[in-house]
This record gives sequence, structure tokens and C-alpha cells, in this order.
Amino acid sequence: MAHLLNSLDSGYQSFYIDKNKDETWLSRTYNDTHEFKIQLKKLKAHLNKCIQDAEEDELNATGNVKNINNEKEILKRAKKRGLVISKLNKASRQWNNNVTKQVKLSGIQYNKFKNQTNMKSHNGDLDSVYINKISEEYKNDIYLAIGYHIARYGLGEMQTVKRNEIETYLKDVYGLDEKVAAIYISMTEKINNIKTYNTKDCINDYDKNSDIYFEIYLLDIMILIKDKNILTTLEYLRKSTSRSFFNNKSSIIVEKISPFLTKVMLGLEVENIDELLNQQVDICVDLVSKDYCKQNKISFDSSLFSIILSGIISLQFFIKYNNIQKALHVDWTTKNELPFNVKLPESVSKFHSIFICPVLKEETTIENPPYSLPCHHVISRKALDKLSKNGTISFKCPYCPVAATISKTMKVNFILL
Amino acid sequence: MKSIINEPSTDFHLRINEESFSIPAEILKRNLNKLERSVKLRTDEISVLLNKVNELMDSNTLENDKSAVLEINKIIKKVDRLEKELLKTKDEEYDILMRIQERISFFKELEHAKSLTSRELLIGWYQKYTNLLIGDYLVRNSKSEIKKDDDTGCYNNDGSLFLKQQHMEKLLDYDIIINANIISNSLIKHNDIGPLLTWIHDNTQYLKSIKSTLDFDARLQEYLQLLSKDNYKEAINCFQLHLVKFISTHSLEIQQAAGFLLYHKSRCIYQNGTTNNPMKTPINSSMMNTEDSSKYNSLYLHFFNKELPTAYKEHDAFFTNSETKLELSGFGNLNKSNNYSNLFDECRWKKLNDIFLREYYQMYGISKNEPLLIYLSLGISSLKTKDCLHKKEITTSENKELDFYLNSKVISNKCPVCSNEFRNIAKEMPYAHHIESILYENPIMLPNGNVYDKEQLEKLAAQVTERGLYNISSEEIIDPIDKQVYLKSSFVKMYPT
Ligand SMILES: [Zn+2]
Ligand SMILES: [Zn+2]
Repeated sequence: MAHLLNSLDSGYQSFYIDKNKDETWLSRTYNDTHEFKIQLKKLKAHLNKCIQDAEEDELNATGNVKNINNEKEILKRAKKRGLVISKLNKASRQWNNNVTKQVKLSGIQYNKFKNQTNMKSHNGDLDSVYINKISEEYKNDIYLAIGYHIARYGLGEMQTVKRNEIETYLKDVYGLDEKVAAIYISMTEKINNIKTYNTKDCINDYDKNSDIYFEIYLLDIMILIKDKNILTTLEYLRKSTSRSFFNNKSSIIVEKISPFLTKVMLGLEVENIDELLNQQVDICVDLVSKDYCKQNKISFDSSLFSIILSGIISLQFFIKYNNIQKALHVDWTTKNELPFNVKLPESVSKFHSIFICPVLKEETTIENPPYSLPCHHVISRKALDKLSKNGTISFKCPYCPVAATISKTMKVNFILL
Repeated sequence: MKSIINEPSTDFHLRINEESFSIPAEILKRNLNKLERSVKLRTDEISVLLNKVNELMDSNTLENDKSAVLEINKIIKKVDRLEKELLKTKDEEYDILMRIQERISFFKELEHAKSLTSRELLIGWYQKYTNLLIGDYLVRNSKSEIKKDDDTGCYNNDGSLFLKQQHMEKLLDYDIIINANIISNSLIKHNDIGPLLTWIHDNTQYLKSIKSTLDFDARLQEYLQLLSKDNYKEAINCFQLHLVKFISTHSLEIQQAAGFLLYHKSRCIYQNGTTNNPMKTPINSSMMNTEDSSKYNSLYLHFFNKELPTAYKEHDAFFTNSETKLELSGFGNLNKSNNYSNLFDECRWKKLNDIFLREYYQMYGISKNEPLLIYLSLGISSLKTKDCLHKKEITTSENKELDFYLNSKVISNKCPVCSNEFRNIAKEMPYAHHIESILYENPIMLPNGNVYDKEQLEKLAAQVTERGLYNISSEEIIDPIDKQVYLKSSFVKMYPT
């Protein structure tokens, strides 16, 4: 369980006084102040009324006529006047207390949360492992990489729909070539079509025997089911089960679709149809974009994303190593190679073949390439020189009993397709 | 919870992203501190007014009652002002709380993806996270100028616009960084110290608490800038108002600054032949000797990071003997180029800016390096193989179409480290450390020494034939590197252990 996340969440919840989640101490202070102002205005009006009445009485009293009613009025007014004063004092006192108290409570709450945000472990943070700095001179390279990344994943989120506007934006801000940008924009359009269930144009781009065609066809049927369009669904199903279509895959369609179809025909709801549709959309988007990238010679993941993901995964190992170094009071190695191995997902890392010389346990390089022995075991050039004493003697393969001389070895080149 | 692709735990991510929560928490505290001061001020004022009301009402006369109403009006006005401040702070609080909520949800999404062990959701989350890092980088390093949005009153740059496009603006406190950018830009680009002084004024308490010298540095720069513009009156004002109080901590610099004014002033007197200045003692030109002159030269160098302008130096000769004049004119040539001295002048502004940014970032707890660059640095190293960045030698054949297909679709390298964007950066990074070979199922060697995966070669041969690029029989394959066709019977099975 994510302990920190949970405690942050509960810390956040305590900003609110009641669970309805719209009142904080501060918003209560605001409301109280607003109320106080209204009350003040009312009291002022009352007082004004008293004054007005008194003035009128004075005018009326000029005739020196004693009026019992008037006496009563005066008493009533005096009482009202007294009430205004006491209410004014009471309201002010109360408001003052409330506001002071609430602001204080708010501060206590803030401090509590602030303390909760102290999460950085003592074992190091991002800055502590940033040994090989990327200097500012590469700003244009970084911008270009960001441009590719946005072109690859970010265009769908953009409000702008006009192609040329997006092209200009990518060129002006990130320096992307318009032609390259156009490739990505078309891809985004394709993906958006699928996401908006507009599959008509898309499906015809693919061979009827391909996986993509099949999955989009399946998507179409699901969309029809969602729309409760029984007749067309049946038509689709009929077509798909005809002999020439989908060969052995048609049974999958029937199997997947018939339970839904039955429900729709019975007038029942297919509860999870949206979820299923989303899943199918994801499958289609994935296949379509993979195919598109392959056709257009662009990599499926942006280089920036592959590197960032690798960086995030490796960070834990960098920090761990950093701590070991610190404990041993050794400086970070300045060697040309990282001192530890990081296991990365193949999708972002498998672009080159890697050969580790089984004798020297080193990765082969251009200077130290792999060589095949007569038994077709492979070792590095340096290992070969070592075993053959620089080619002067015949030697035994370290992995099998076959003997070799340097003249019978062959330089090899591992190529990943 | 187990990781899916060897990725760190949610809590690890939270620790690394502490700023996502500590910055809003800091903003809340700052806003409240400001509010607390006004609440204190207003409630005190209101208490005084209320006492007045009570006094007036005590006497119970109509006239005094009328006066009391006026006082109550004053109270209402005060309450109204406080209400407006409260509304502002309350709205700010709401905005910040929404940020916190959005961020908690964001990390809950990660936890959710992990709990479902869904690789797709996880990758999707990391793509969002990458966008966040990009947003942060762009906010700090925007190439475009900061623009004010007239509709919302917000300031935007490349970064905030990107975040808004991606609907992620709540996940980053870009406004804090843009605000720093505005102050920075006015220092570096316009040599305008105004916005910095305002910020210093608003944060005096904090700067004091960390014993920052920013206040002094900024005032000294203001003073020197006034001097360099020959605005003596303002310079003296600034000196007396803002610099003198630092005498206990910066006595040497203040003495130098004062001395420098004297020097500047003396030139002024000489040049104008008048003494219409607030300095009481007219300076006797004969007071200046060679020693003084060179002392002032070094002072000038100290404060402006450049040599004395030629005009002043020739002028110096008036005070000194002819030998010195000869010596000085030797340096004079250096200073003829204005650009050269401007360059040095920028230095002081840049230094001041560095100090400002350091204090500003420290105040909010913002990391000094862009996380995007840190992850890129780590990522490149963990991906860089010994095979990276080398140009492959590619043989061409007669068949151009076949070449194009093989070169662009088959052997083209999509390695992120080798990409055009990153290859330059990658040159300077260390290699990854591998402990195991990463090869393929069935490695076979062709007579030319190239080793491939058997299945891949066979697939390729079929594709090439299918596309009508070249007719390869079922007994043969084609080597995409040397474009030669080989018999399958020439395959040598390899054992690279
Ligand atoms: Zn062997
Ligand atoms: Zn590479």
C-alpha cells in the first residue's frame, strides 16, 4: 500500500470542516464576515430609523402638547436604541472572536499539511544523482525532442484542428520539419477517428486478412450493439461468418458478440459495453499506430519518452548506488560506464544487440569485437589474444574441448533486425 | 505492490515529487500570513471605531447618535474591505486546494495502474508524467517571451501554454516559476531592478531569516546603476536611504561605494566647472594623485566589472603627471569598443539574478536542476550501448528500390540514444553496464560473418519477394547489410553462450 499517498489524501481531506467538501475555515471566515456586514447594515438602518422618528417627534412636540402615545413611543424607541447598541457590541465581539479563531485554526491546518509534505528521504533526491549534466548548449536538441514527443502523443489534446496551424506551431516553437510534422498529424487524425468511432475510412486501409482489419471490424460490431442497432449487427455478423471471411477468426466474433446481441434483442442493457468498447478502441489504436509508425519509419515511442522512462526506472538504482558510495566514503565513479546494471523494458531498450564476452565479462566494442571460434563459440578479440598469447599458440575453447588457432577464428557482427 | 516494468513504487515517486505538495502548502501559508496581518489590522481598527460608537451612544443625544451612525458606516467600510481580502484569499485557497486534489488523484492513478498490473495504464501514466516534466522544462526555459493573457490576466510562456493544451496545468505550479522569470527577465534583459525590489520588500522577513544578502546586493546595484547614468541625486538618495543601514555587515563595500561616488562627483565638477550639487565639500582637484587614480580604477573595475571609460582616463591625466597619462592611454585602446564593456556590465546583473533565483527557488523548495534533464541524463546512460552512435557501413546494390526498402525499413535504427535529437547529448554520457548478452533465439552466421536471428532472416526474404523487390527462392535468404543472397545451407549455427 502506498502509505505516503494515503496520509497525504487524509491530510487533504482535513482542510474541510465538514465532509460536504466545500467549507474550509477560511471560507467560513468569509461567510461570517459577509453576514456581519449585512448585520451591521441592518443595525445602522435601525438606528437611522430611531433618529428619524425622534426628529419627527421633536417636530410634532413643538406645540407643547403632552401626548401619552408619544411617551410610549419614546420608551419603545429607547428600548430599540438600547437593543441596537447591545446587538452591535455582541455581534462585533462574536465576529471578532470567530475570525481570529478561524484564521488561527486555518493556520494550524496549513502547518499540519506542510509538515506532511516533508517526504524527501534522507537517502538522496534527484539533484544528488545528477552527475553528468546536460549543458544549456543542447537547448535546441531538447526542444526538438520535445517537438517529436508532442507530435507523437500530444496533438490529440490540442484544441486547434487546422493542420497548418499545428504544423506552424511545431515548426516555430520546436523546430520540427513540416514534412515530419505532417506524418504525425495524419497519425493523430487516424487515431482520433478510431476514438470517435469513425472507422469507415480507416478500415479500408487494411488488408482483409490482417489483425487490424479484424479488430476494427469487431469494434464496428460493438459500436452497433451500443447503438442497439440489431439489424445491421446481424448483417455484420452474417458477413463475417461467411466462408471467405476471416477464415478461422469468425468463430471468435460469434463467441464474443452473441451474448451481447442476445441481450440487446431481449431489450436488456449490456452493462459493461462502454468499458468493452474502450478496451477495443485501445486495442485498435495500438495496432493502427504501430502499423503506421512502421510504414512511415518512425519509432513507436518518442525517443524522449523512451529515455525518460528509462531514467525513471534507473533512478532508484542510481540513488541506491549513491548511498553505498556515500557510506563507503568513495566518490562517484568517473568511469566511462555505469557501475551497475538496470533492467529496462524491451520496448524502450532493445535496439541493439549486446554481446558480453564470456571470458572477460565485458561488452564487445568496435575496438574489441566478437570472434567466432571453430566450434562456433564466441569470445572477444581481447580474450582471444590473451588465450592465444597474441596468436602465437593454439588454445582450447574455454567452453568446449575443441582446440583453435587464431587463423581459424572469424570476426563476427551481431545484427538485430 | 510488485512493479510491472521494474518501475519504482508510488511512495518513491511521491518522495521525488515532494515539491508537488510542498509548494502549494507553502503558497497557502504565505497567503494566510498576509491575511492574518490584515485581519489583525482591520479588527483593531474596528475595535477603536466601535469604542467611539459606544461613547457617542452613551451620551444619548440626537446629534451624537447621528455621529455614531457615521462611525458605524466607517466600520462597514472596513468590514467590506476585509471581506474583499477574505474573498481573494479564499479563492486562492480554493485554487490551491484544487491543485493538491488533482495531484493526489494523479498519483492515485499510478497506484491504480499498479494494482491492476496493467502495463498499458502504467505506460499511459508515465506518458502523462513525461508531459509534466516537459511542462516544467518549458516553463523554466521558454524560448518565447512571457505574454499576458488579456482575458484571464495570466502570464503565459511556452511551458504554461503546453500544460494548458494537455489539461495538466493544475499539476504544476508554473505561476511561481513564471513570476520568477518576470523578475529575472527585467534584470537580465532590461536592467530594471524595480520588480526585484518589490519582491524583496514583500519577502523581507524570509530573506532576513535566511540571512540573505540579496537586499544589499540589489540596493548596491541600484546605486551603481544610478551612478553610471550620472544620476547623482538619486544615487545619493539611494545610498542614504538603503545602503547606509548595512554599514555593520558590509562596511568595506559601503566605504568603497561612498568613495566611488566621491570620485564620480569630482569628475562631474571638473567637467561642468560648477558645484551645484548637494555635496558640501567641494573637491580640490589637486587632492588626486597617482595612487588615488589607480585606486579608483580598481574600484571602477570592482563595481562595474569593466575598465574605466577612456574619456575618464584621459581626464585622469589632468590630476596626475604625464608619466601616468602615458601608462593609462595604453589601456585606453581596450575600452574603445562599447560592446566589450557592456559585456562585463552584464556580469553584475547576471550575478544578482543568480542570487535572486537561488533565494527564490529555495523559498518554495524548487529544485535547482530541471527534472527533465536529470531523467534524460540518467536515461541516456542506462540505455547507451557500445554499439550506439556509430555510423554503420551500408553497402549498396544495383537495385535502388530494394536498397531503399532494406535501409529505411529493415536496418534503420530507432534507438532513442542514436536519434538525431539525442546523439549529441549522448556523446558525453557514460555507457550502460550490461551483465548479460541481449541476442536472439536462433543466432546463425552467414559466410560474411554477420550473425542474425534465423527466423527474422527468413521472414525478411519472404517480405522482399512478396513486395516484388527481388525474387528470393525458398532455399535462400538476403543479407540486408551487404545486400547479397545466401543459401540457407550456408547458415552456421552459433553458440554465443
Ligand atoms: Zn567451443
Ligand atoms: Zn543506440
